Amino acid sequence: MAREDFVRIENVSKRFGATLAVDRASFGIGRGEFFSLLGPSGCGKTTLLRMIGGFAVPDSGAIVLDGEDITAVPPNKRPTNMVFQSYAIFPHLNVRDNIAYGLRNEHLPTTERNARVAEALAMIRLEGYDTRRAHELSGGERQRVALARALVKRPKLLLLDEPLGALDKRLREAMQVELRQLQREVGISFIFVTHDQEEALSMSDRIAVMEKGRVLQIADPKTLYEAPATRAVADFIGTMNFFEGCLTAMAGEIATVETRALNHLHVAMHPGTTFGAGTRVLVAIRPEKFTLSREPPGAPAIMARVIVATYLGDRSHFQIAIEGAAGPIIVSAQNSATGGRRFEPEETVYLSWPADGPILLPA
Amino acid sequence: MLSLSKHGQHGRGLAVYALAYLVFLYVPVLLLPLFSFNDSLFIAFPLSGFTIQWYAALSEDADMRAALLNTLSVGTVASLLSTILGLLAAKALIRPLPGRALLLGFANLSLFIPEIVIGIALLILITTVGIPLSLMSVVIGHVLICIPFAILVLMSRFEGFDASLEEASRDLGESAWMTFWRVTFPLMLPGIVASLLLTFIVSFDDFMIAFFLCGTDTTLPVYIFGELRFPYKLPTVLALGSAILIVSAVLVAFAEWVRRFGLVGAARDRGIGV
Repeated sequence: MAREDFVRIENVSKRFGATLAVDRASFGIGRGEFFSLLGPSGCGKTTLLRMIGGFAVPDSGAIVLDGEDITAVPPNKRPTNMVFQSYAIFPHLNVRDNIAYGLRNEHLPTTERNARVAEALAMIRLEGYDTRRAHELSGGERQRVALARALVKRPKLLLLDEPLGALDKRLREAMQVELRQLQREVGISFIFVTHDQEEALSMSDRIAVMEKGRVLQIADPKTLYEAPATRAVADFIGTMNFFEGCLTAMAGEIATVETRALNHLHVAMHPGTTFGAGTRVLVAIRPEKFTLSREPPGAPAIMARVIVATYLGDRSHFQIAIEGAAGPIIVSAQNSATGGRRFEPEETVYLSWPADGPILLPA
Repeated sequence: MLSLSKHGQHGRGLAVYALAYLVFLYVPVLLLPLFSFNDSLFIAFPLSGFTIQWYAALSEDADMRAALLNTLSVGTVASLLSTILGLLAAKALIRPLPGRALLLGFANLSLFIPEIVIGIALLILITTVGIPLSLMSVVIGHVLICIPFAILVLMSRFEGFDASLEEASRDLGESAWMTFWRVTFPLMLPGIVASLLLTFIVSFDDFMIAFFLCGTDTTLPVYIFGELRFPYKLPTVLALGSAILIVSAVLVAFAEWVRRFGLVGAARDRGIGV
């Protein structure tokens, strides 16, 4: 890649007892990038973050920050700061002393120190909260104090361990926007750990999807959603329908796949992917790529039967049965797009998909 | 009392039982101050008159004052040492160590060994090693019996102590040592104070260990025991006992208050019940 990596994770592994928490993770993070580690709990994302922060030492591999190997540097000597999942606001100190906590070692003149704290309070819009204690703050306010306390140190890299996990939905969405804006303003690289795929998609420049200690794919949100590299990634990000098939022919970038459920399918290959004819493959189609209709459409279509129709306000979800498919197919339709028409259970419909709908994955 | 009218007969029975319970617990103890103000050498009813002469005699007793000073010195040193050791042990024992329950059991075993056994065992050990019997040997014995109290009090304060607070301090640039002083110590302070008070009282109250190990440096309980040989000193001993009773009660109440204050503070700081 052309981008110069500001942070490099080089073949990092960490074992806890019998479990390999992180398995040979290798990737780079750019300067000023908002990078997310996404995966279910126990996938190793927090362990990886803690190794970058210095709270765990890799069994093997190296962590390089801004050209300096920090693998064995203790947390208090690293130019990184962390926002903890519990926020870890010091309960015996007020907001100002919490924020100023890390400045003691920087030996600043009092006036500058006060200015830095005031600046941090303004940044998180908590002016006038100087003397409040941790127990007098709401969840969102604690989260912001934790953020200010870390950023006031002017770290080269900010680590965030599920910082929005404890907030309710509405506040979490507001904080996502706020956090992203803040990151653009300060221009510091963020590494953000989350298990919430929507959160990762909405905030990140790039996302590393992890499972069982391994990094499955690293890509920007659009690529991850539109062109997942494996079944596991496709399954974890959003909802996906999978069809087993056999690749029968290749014509340029277009592969023909024979499936039991959808018959012949033409699938555009991603540049760089290679499958030989005769290989068993997987065709994946997102629920919203499908179209349901009563009349035969122009696009490739097959007959199907509606099993379940769920009205969700702005859109509807359908479970569709087709012959030869392993299970029901999930279809999502914008209610405005169907022109107010509803499909009822037991109704026979045409299921169609656009040419760029199907994705080809290794089986 | 309100519950009496509500629950009628059943409640009254319980109240009588509770009263009998309190009488059984406290009447023997209250006899001490009662007779310490009685103007007679003999401990018998009816009371013969009010006096404070036994307290006056007490304040003039130089041997008693020396023994009191010994007890205070031993208590101070023993409570400091056992609280420091207890703090280190409690810090380790709150972590999910392998064999944690066994370690905790061993650390607290001395609570369940009769003090006379500990006293004799220590006497044999200390004389074998060749340490002269003195206040020093009493301190050693008292640290041994005080440590379980320190561990239990401090562990209750450590429960729910968010380990990420210490990590946050390291993350913000502080060394392990400064993290202890800036985060762990202030948050543990109520527990530490409670432990100091409680272990001080355990040391202050101890007769058995001191009896075996003090040599010629008598502590207050050993001194009292010695005085009981002289019948005419008995009322003075009662006066002394009453004074100790009050000081002990005040210290225990204060220690418990500090510990609870700490717990309430900790709960509040974690945002519980707010």
